[in-house]
Amino acid sequence: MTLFSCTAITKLQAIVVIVIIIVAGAAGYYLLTPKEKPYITVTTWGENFLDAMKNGVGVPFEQQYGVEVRYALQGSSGEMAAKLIAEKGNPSADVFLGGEQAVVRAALAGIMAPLTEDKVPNLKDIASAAKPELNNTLWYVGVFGLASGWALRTDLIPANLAYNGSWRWFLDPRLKGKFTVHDPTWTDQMSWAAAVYGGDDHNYDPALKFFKDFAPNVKFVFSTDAEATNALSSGEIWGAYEYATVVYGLAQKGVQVQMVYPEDVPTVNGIKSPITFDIDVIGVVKGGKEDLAYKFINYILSPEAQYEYCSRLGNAPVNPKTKPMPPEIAPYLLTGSELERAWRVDLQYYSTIQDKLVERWQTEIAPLIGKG
Amino acid sequence: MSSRTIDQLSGALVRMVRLGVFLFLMMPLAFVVVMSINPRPELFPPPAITPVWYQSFLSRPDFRGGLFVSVLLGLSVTAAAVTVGTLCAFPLARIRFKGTSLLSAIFLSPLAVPQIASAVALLNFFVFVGVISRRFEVLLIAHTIIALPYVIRVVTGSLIGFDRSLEEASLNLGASTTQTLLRITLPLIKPGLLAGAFFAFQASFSNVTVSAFLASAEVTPLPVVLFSWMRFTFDPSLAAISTLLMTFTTSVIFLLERILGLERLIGVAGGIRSI
Amino acid sequence: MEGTRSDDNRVNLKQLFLLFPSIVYVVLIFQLALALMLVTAFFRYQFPHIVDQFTLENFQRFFSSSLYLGTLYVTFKIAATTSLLSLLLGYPVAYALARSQSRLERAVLFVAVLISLFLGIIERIYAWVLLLQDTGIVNRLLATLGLGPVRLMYNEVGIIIASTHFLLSYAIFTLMGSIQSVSPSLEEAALGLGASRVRMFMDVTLPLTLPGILSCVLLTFSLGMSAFVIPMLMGGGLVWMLSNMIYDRVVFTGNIPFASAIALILLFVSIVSTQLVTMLVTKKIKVG
Repeated sequence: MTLFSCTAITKLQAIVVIVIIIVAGAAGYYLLTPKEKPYITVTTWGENFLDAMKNGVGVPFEQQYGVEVRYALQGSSGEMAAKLIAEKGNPSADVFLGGEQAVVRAALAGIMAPLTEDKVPNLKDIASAAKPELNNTLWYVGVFGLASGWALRTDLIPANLAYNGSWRWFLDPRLKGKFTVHDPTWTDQMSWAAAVYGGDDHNYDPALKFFKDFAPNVKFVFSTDAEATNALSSGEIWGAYEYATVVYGLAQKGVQVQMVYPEDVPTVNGIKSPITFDIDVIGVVKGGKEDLAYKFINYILSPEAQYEYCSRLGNAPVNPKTKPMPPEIAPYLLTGSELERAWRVDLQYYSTIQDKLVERWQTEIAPLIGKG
Repeated sequence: MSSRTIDQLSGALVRMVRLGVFLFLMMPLAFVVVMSINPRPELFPPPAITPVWYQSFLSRPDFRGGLFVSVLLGLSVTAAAVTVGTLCAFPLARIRFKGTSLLSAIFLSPLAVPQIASAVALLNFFVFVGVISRRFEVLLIAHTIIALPYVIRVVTGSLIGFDRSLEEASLNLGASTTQTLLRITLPLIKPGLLAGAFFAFQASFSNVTVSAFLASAEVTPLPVVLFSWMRFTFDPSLAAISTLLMTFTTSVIFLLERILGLERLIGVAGGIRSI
Repeated sequence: MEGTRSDDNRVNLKQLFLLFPSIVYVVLIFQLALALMLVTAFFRYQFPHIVDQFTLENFQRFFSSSLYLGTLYVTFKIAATTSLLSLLLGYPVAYALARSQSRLERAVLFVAVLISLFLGIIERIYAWVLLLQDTGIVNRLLATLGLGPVRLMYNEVGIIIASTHFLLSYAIFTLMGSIQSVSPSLEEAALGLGASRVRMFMDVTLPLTLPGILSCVLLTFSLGMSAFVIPMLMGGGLVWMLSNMIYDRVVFTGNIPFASAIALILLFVSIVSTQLVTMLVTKKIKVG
């Protein structure tokens, strides 16, 4: 029997098609309707972040509390913020873990529930730098710290051009087209550039000046880390401004890449030669399963969970009671004197000027890039 | 230059273009297959052959789950879109009233609207209407909206060039309109229907942005999983998935060809030698 | 169900009924949802809330800046180029698929086009990045031939290449469907009357497949105008299309009003262009 005969569509064929439609629809409906077992949904990035979250935190949590953990995948926490804000009251996730900027926006949009010590006992152990308040309320807490700086393919740089520890090295005209930078939606890099030319996290005009001078040495601008890691890995570029944890992931794949933090950056807010430092944060989404969400956050702040989670990612724990990190991660964490240099940038201020800053970047800086 | 020479020259030119396009189409596909077995992604040609990326992908429940959701969703969307789209292609192709052109433009609009705008708009709408918790249905409706323009465009295109004398002959011979439809019209536009079905499935299966905004932990289509996956590194697991999907598609095509023959698969054969 | 051909100019109620389901999906759900969002383009945004104040400042912001106008131009340029390329490159392949007598040729082409259709957008970009970047395969090949590296990434060229690759399958299938519904006996008749192949193509095939060509161009152009992932990952932050600007506003600052304004303008340009092209071609179809 020929199914697609050009002579006729028999009643049989029509029935087959209709049956397929009904079966597919019914299967979808029944198989994808959520089950009744208690569960919470936590947002996370994919790849090693998902693995670290699942194996380091989710599975032990499930065993301890008997609550299943499901993961809402995000390509960027900004997207997740936009989505959760739109879903106001009926969120698709109970716990929002993301970059600080995204969660700040969610908090200001009124979709987060406040964190207090009676609901999250482990909060009292957490370093105060990881508990930034907004309008006198704690809407989110840091879940790990990560430094960012220049990642260099020191193996590819010829000896006569080797990095000399100064920020001026980056402007060397012999390094045309050898770098990539993140687009201006990322605060850290703009702030570092501002600091280098005498500004700070409330004065970004110097940052734009710096990038005008730096532009000839930049080959392209990236918005997803994969673009940067790919270019570093293939040798397309020699340096990228990136998070230490991303570089850690790259190094684990065998790429010879090193984190460097130039020492001669002007002092900012009393911090000598500042190293930009972020926290990724976590909070409870209003209207979700708030009780379970508080329990989850309390768990992820505990020393055991902190150790498991951070050691897998190469990040710094926010709970001082955590065991020391394994030695292979040390190069990617700020240690000793470097800790004194950690500079937490004012993200709230940045969000308010971001729109205009991005515009200025696209008008004044972008046309100068990629000519190398 | 005689017209014969022009014919031969243009024939040669067209053959070259055809070959070039074929190579252009295949090059990235071949590349993806090679990358999927390459143990060292930064090296090319690959120093060895490894199944690592396939194992990595197959062993992950999030990938498997994503694949399952996408296939189910894709099939449902295809069924819905082809049905609805074919229904409305008939009046669009055959009635010449003043609004036809405008209506066509309206039906094409989901394609013209940037996905991010559609995604946010639809999400807000479904929240507003209060159905957001029924994720699979919501994704089904959204994907059907996105797939419809393809089906409508392709089927309308086939219908407009359609030789209606065959229909007239059938009616004149005493067949009812339904019989004519089922035995004459639909079979002859089957290539268009098939193409529309392929497009619809692909539109749903590969949709990233709208899926991302309407997904949830329970219903996560494959592209959403993949997008969150290639945020930090270009992982060859992606190449492995693609290769598997391409192999699957090829096998299905070969199977259909065995059963039905290529003619029926592509459409009415014959005609003159191609230029 | 369709009525007879002489009803062409009379609006048959039954036929309008066929339009109903599509109207529900596209108009009642989609357009309504879109309208509800796009209307925010006329409101002010004060991070992170939309203020209930009617204003045209979003549009003023767009039109007073060479950045946005320039991006509109680039978007249009890339979409038009990609659309044209897909048509020109796709037609020969579509024709072979419809008419070739070599079973092998048709099978091979069909499989190639179909598989290319099913290659996901992300994997496709992944392959093109690895092929086109400065240290990529293409440039390495050129180097062995002694030719200098050509910058194929982080510029419009790379985006056009990847987009054309993406749209070709759509173009080919759309055209193929149309070529097939043209009866080959018409072409045979022309040849029988002594016309050369080229003549036959220009006078018979081409005019009769104009509806298919129109469908193809409208489809590829619309898709090209709203392209988003390709310029995001291959533009290197140096080439943007309007969709990227919309994305940035939605995801990073939550500025839905301005994003909606950009979307409205993009839609307007898209619709006007496609309407113009449709009118031009439909006139040709009627006359020819």
